[in-house]
Amino acid sequence: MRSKIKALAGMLSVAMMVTGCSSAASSSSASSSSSAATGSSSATVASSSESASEEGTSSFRAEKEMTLTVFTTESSNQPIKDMAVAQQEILEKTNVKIEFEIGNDDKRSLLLATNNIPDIMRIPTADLTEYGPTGIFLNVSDYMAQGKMPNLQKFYDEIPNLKKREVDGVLWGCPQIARDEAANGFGPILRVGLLEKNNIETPQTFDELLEAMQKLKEIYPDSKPWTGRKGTSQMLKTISYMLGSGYGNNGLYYDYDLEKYVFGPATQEFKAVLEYLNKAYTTGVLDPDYATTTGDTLSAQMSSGQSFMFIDNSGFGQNYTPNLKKTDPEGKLQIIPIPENSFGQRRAVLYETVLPGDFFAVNAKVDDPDTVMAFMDWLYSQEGSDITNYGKEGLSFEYDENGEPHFIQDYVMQFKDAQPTCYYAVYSELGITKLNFSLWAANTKTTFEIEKLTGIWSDLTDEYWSIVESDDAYVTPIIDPALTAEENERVKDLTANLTTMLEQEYDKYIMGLEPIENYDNVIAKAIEMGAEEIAEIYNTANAR
Amino acid sequence: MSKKKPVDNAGIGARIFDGCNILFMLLLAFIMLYPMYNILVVSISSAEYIYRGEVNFIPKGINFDAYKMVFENESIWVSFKNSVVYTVVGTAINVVCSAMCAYPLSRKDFYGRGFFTFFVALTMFISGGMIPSYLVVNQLRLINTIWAIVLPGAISTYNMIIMRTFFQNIPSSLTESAYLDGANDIQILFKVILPLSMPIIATMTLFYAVGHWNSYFQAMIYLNSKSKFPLQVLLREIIVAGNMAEESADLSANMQIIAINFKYAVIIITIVPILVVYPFLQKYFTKGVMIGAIKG
Repeated sequence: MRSKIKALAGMLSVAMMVTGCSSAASSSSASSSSSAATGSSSATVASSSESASEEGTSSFRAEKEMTLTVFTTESSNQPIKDMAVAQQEILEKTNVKIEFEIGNDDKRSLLLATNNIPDIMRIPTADLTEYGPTGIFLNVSDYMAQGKMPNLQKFYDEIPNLKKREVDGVLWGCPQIARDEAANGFGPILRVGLLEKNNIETPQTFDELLEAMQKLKEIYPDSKPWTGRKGTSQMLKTISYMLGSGYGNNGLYYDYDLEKYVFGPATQEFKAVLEYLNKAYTTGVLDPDYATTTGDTLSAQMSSGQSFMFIDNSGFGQNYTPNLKKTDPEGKLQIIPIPENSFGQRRAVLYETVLPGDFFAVNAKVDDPDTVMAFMDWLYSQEGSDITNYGKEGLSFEYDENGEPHFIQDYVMQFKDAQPTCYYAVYSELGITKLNFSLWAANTKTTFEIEKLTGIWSDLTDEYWSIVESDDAYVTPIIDPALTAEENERVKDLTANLTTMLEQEYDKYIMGLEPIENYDNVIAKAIEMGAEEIAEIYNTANAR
Repeated sequence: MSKKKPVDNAGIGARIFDGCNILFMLLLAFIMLYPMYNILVVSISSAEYIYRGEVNFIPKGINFDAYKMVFENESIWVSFKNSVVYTVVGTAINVVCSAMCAYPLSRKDFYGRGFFTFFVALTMFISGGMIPSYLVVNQLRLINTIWAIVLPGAISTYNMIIMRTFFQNIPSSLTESAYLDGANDIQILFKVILPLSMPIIATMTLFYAVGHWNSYFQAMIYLNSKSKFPLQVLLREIIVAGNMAEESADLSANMQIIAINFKYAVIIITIVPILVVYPFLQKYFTKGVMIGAIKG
């Protein structure tokens, strides 16, 4: 009997041991976790400026080979490969070996929350300002102040917006800085060919735009001339500013004419937006399902020729054109200059292009921080940026007489028919550009170059960029100021309530269930709920 | 004896009722099957028809380019292999551990049975949560190994309790007679109890295997190297991709430029293997019934 019990208990305990069946971890393990940081192999200091050693060319070289793990997210458009061409080149030039740790947003939060971060971490601004002050990252401002990061310092002096990424005057990560990025923004994309065919002139004002769409609706009664991609709020976000008000993400936007933050839906000007949408809705111009559109709706309706217009990221037009041509060989989607709104303004905002928003923060517990920071700074140099955006000299790119890098056509042509696109295949193979580990990172610059080399670049694309660049309605965006913790908390609370209240209202006015005069009540209610306080908080923060 | 035809004495009302039932069930079956059918159809249609929203029931412009793309993609093969390994190893550990835990708890003569049952059942209601679990796995140095996937969830308490209940229903006279023949507990478990428990083993294998095959979260959290990712993590990336970088001049990055038919082909590749496991396990569901095991 005794042995029987023993055997049974043994079986159970084995099972329990193997599985850790009991309720997982206790709090003690949480506190002691920090000791288990990811190891990086040793490296001795190499001075950043003077070590033009026998390998010669590089302005930075670690004395001993050093491995750095880099956490990054991955786009399936551009898979990240281990030791791709650029990483091999980095190793050869600087003696630094890059190892990628691939994860996503959830994993990043987990690593940050448990303080198990690798040597270098790709994080968005929000995480940088939240976790930076806890001291888990190296203080980049210190290194700049000590003159150890001359290349970054140069950018820092040039880009005043970078100060807005600081928390109490400290920059906690190395910002990704865009290299010669082309800028576009929200804009109206129309079936211009169809307008010509029906002798409709290119609209100069938003009213004319509506009239033009009405005419098309009469000619093609089954169509849904104007569609969108993410329901009501995206629609408001994309068109409000052009129509004389603004919506931002949740109502708050920066008005470049007034030069201050305004809570759009709580202003009289916002009525013009709702009125315009209402008119479009009642005349049948606006897709009756506008409130529930998705990205698939937009691509299906634009490429099948069922819709004639959208106002959103104007770059999309070129993606739909090839499919559209299959139904209508003369089909052509093109941007028009921003029309004039009912207040007589022509206005639109470009996307932020200098600071894409991601940072590479360095673990405060990294071995030999001086060398790591010198390496990070090297990535901002011309040499570092050329390698991380063009690959290996002689293989994938060569310098012209002005010292500017250019892709080698033969190399690029190998990927001409690759999926999903030629340029993503090149990026993935070389391990380069914005979505890989690059600090001074190209995106459109290299894309355009590759498309021109492979002949994918079309006249339509040229025309598109020339229209956007020559349109003086666009302004370059400012970056939202950093808020203090209390301000942030307050804004979050107010915004949550306001959004809940307001989102129930918009559709009533767009669909005409409520007359527009009644919107005054909504404005009053929004102000009562703190709409102006939010704007005030931002304006104060911006003035700091 | 002449076979009697079943008398058709059902009233008109009953027939209508049956008819409605059948219609309702067919509708239900359609609702369940259509999404999968649609995915299959879209995956073999050509992109232009898909974009125009014209592919619903019948594939248009049939081609297998999407599958070609999938099969040419190395990382899908690597992940496929990983998924198979994790599923096989994981399920083996699951079933063995669950049985070893369930059997003692099923025995009425096991000392402290109530106590252990209570603590095991407790984990169903109170769990460590993600962060403590991560810290434990991290401190055990399991991160980025197969063990981080197969060990933390080696016993599903719920499944273990099902197994225990099944074992309890095996008459104790069987074990007693085995004792008389000189068998010890381990022998009894593996030579008497388990052979009699094929239905529950098959069920558990299926539960666990499907769970392993479909799980992505643990893999996503605990694995770092791409070469170790299972298929589901890759699938998730492919499906969720395109939602990023919406606001930039990067024209096609804004879009889901991964073609829908490619995505759907990956989905098909992902669900088919686990789907074909079912028929193979089905035969065990009816086996192992204890016919004539006890007499008198």
